[in-house]
Amino acid sequence: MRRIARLRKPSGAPLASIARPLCIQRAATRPSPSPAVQINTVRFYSSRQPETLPASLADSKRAVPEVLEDAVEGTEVQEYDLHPAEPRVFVPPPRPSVAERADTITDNLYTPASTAEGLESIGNLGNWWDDPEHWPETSDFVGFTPKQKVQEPVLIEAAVRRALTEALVVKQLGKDDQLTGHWGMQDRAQHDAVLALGLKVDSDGKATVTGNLQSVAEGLVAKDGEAAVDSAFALPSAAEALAWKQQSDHSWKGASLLEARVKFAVIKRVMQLTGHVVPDQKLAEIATARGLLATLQKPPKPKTFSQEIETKKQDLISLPNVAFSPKRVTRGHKDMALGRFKLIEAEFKKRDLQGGPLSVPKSREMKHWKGDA
Amino acid sequence: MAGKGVRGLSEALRSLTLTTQACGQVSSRLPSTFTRSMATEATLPRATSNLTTTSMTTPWRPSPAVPVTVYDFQTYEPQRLEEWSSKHLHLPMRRDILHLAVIFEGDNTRQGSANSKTRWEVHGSHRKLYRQKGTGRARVGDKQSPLRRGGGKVFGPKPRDFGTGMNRKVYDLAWRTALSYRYRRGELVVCEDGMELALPQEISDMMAQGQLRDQALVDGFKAKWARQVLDGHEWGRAHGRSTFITTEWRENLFNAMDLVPNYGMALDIEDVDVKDLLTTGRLVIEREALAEMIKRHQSDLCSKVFINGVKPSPPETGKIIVQ
Repeated sequence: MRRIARLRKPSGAPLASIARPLCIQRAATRPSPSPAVQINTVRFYSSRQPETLPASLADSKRAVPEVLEDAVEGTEVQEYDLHPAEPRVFVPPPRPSVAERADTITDNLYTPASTAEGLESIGNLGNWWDDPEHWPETSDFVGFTPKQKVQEPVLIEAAVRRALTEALVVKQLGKDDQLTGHWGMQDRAQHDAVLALGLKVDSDGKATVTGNLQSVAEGLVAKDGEAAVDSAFALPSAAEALAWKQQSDHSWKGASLLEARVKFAVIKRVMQLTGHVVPDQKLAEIATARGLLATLQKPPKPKTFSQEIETKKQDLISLPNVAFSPKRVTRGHKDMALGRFKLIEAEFKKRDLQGGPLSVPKSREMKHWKGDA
Repeated sequence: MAGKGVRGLSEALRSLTLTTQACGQVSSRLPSTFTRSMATEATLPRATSNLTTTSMTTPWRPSPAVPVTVYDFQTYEPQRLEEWSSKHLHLPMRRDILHLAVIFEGDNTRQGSANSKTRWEVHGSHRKLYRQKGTGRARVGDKQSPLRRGGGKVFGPKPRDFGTGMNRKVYDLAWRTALSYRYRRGELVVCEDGMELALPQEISDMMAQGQLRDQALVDGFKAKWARQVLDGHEWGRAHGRSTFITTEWRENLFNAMDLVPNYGMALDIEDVDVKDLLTTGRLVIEREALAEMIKRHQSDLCSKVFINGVKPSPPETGKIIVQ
């Protein structure tokens, strides 16, 4: 009997919720210092629909190889469908098909293969999920932070201003409980609307927002089922942010962040917009928006020591008696500096020998120096 | 270098004009450096210039508590802000104590079961191999002689206990010092209780329906999902791996971390020791696990001695500030 799965054509709109296993239920005997917080708006992957379906998903017959279909014509086909009404995000493998036994085949022309030569290798299921048709990019994990961390200092500044304004709006409207909640990630228009609000800071650092506060506060409420917008779409480009920065005054940076709830809200929102996490030990130091900016706008740490010297210690490189090289200077480099390397290469070519890489391991270098082969 | 020397000289000369100055003024105008280094270009310590009256009189009072953000595990969304005692999470670094603790743990983890046979334990007859004289060969005793191949070992290893001792209060201090070190470096991520790798609903359904019977298929999914979660939060291989600490075994999380050892490890609270706290790039720890860990390791903070009939309580910690 034929057991070949037919994959149903998915409509491509992923809808998924979190499966919280039962084992995370806490023991009732232990005191609960941290009440469990249910996040309704959590979404693990983007719910933006792909414009076009992958070719494999559009063609439902693809999962059934034609050869097999011809070979077992007329046999019963078992199809399975887990949730006929729901679209599928992850595509499981088809059920294994069982080949007919050689002694039951009635075709006289059929001769069983005696060697494996010429048979197609189909592999196993070890890397099934590496195929983008089985695990499309839209099903990838999406957390609270955006996929790409915002590194442009101007964009970070715009995000901090936006976060501060939004937090102050919520506070001014008396919705203190909203300060710690989950805010929706709106589109670009909302960003411009928030930045357009006036922000006045007095000498004590007390900030007041003026403008249409109500619409901004309504926009913050995250709606269930709303498509998650990555902050790449919600934030302006660097050039636009720069233009905004040049025409706005910087007095808002003196706004006080001493109130814990406001600071928490601002830092959480900045994390959502830019992907920057403010470490706990810095929290106590941050007293104003300027302090927060100083924490966030630090350039990323250089990955190598040579990169650090090149970027931060230019004065060392410019010293007259110091030569700087990002990598170890080898025999080859010295030959190059003297103009001898071309000649060596030419001689190698003449003798039909391999020139080899410039940098060789130290052990081999030592061999060269000692005159070994 | 030369410019610094000239400046130092002029400052020194200026400070010598004592006649018109009061003593207090003199001290504030002492030259910043009297010597200059022969070896390096590093700035020399300024002995007097940074000393102001305020810093001389105001003692340093560290904050009694430090803020801790509690995150939702999988999404990394901040949930609330808490205040933990500085005596738990903001201790000064003590490299020596950490070293002692790690060595102490290493000693006590040694199995110490190496065993070799002495000449009296090697199997065989103790007959003299051949006579003492007359063969022209060197004199020998029995076959088990340590000089012979297959003979016994003279001073070989015998099973023993390599364990060493450490004062409990010092060990507990080391434990909290390790946590403080992580906190100070921003490498302590405290998450909500019940930390577990939540799989997408659809995959859970498929597993329940028996569509994913192949273990390689399930493992492949968990591994890729875990890699995506960790990379998304900058906790993965490219960012120095992470240690996940929970109060109890969590199936998905522990299985997944076993499948991606390059991305870190997951440990039950009973399995954790000081070395584990210092090993990977960061600790991602359940709130309850952190509280339990501190509760078990604060013997130096709460005395057993009753004072006025009351046992001194440990410092208050884990107070919620913002929720």
